[in-house]
Amino acid sequence: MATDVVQYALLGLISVRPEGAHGYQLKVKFDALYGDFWSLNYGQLYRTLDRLERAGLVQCTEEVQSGRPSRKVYRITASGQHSLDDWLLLPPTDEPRPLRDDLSVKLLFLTEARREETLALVRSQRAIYLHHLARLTKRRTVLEESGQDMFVTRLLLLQADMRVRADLAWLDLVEKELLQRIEGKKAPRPTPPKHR
Amino acid sequence: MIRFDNVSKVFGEGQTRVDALRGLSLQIPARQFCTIMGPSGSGKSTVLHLVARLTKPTEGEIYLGDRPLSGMAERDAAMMRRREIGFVFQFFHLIPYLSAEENVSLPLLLDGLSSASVRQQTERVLTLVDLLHRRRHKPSELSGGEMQRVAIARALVTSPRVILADEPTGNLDSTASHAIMRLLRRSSDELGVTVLMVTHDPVCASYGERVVRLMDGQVVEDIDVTEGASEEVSKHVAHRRQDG
Repeated sequence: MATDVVQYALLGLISVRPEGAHGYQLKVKFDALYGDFWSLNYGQLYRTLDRLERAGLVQCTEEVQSGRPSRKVYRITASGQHSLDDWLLLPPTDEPRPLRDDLSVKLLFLTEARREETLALVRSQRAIYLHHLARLTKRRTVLEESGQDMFVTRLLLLQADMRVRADLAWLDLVEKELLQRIEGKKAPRPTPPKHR
Repeated sequence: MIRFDNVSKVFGEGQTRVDALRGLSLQIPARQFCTIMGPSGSGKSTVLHLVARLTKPTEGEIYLGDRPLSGMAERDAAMMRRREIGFVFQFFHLIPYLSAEENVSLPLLLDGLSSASVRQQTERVLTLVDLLHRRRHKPSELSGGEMQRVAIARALVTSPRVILADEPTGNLDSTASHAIMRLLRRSSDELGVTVLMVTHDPVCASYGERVVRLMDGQVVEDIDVTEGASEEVSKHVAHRRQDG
């Protein structure tokens, strides 16, 4: 998730809490909404909150708690609300990306002699996606059975489904082409597989 | 529960010889929901046909429970298919001039059950697939998803130990597909049925707990997609995402 998207996600979460929100609440809320898609650690969270404060998009106040250390509470400013509204209405500019991890780069640099290892990489990548898909499926089933109206979460889950499916189809293609190249280097088999 | 012991299957000979399976060994425990994936011609459907004893292996042996299948008499094999195995196909294979209820009750009528128990069993499975209210409809009056739910009810009506599903959502949209996959999941979880499914669709495969990938008649991947395994992998992904 790009930095500015995290920033706006947090700004949005702060905006729906006029009474103010503290870091831990934001982290819990963020994870509940996006945990299946994006991970956000506390370091990123507080760096982003500092950035929002410096930009004047949120206002931070110290809240004194009896018997416990005081904590910072964040509220959205008028300028923050304005910035959030602008961003919400701006058409997405994110270009469609292929697999957003290192596999595509590795494919560029793995030499011809290492095709078997590349194939193993493709296969472990597929296992990762299948696990991810299984978690999404479980979440969707729980959502459907809960009967709650989770309109956006459901749409996000469907989007994730479609992306993973596309990535898996691409992995199948990569595997097929790699195998064809490996086969091409070997002596032909006595019984080549045929389509039935 | 289902065991493949070094199974090879060859179709044809000479120029037309096709090695559908090459020394396949595989164990599917009872109650597991196992998916078989792989490119066309990798031997996926042959695996289902061998479990149903619709065909015999060229080499090796297949066991259903403790019973080896290749030496089984045709009559016993037919009995086993009717009583212990439920089939779900891509194109539903319902009888067009029979109602939903008649399609579902057919395997029980063939087994000579009393009409009271046929009615009771049929209502039980039609309720399970949420189609009791459509019991009098003919297949042509049902949607694709509903037809497949009738087919699942028919597969479950004999309380089989195994369901063999060959591309059960191949002909359905994604909403109907999810409903079908949830039914298969429940069959495994609540009725203790072993589900062996062939699919091209990874989303469907994600309803099971195991994905076996075949290529050229051999297992190239055997992936556990259950919760524990998935947490390990997601940590790995999250870690890599933070790096990137």
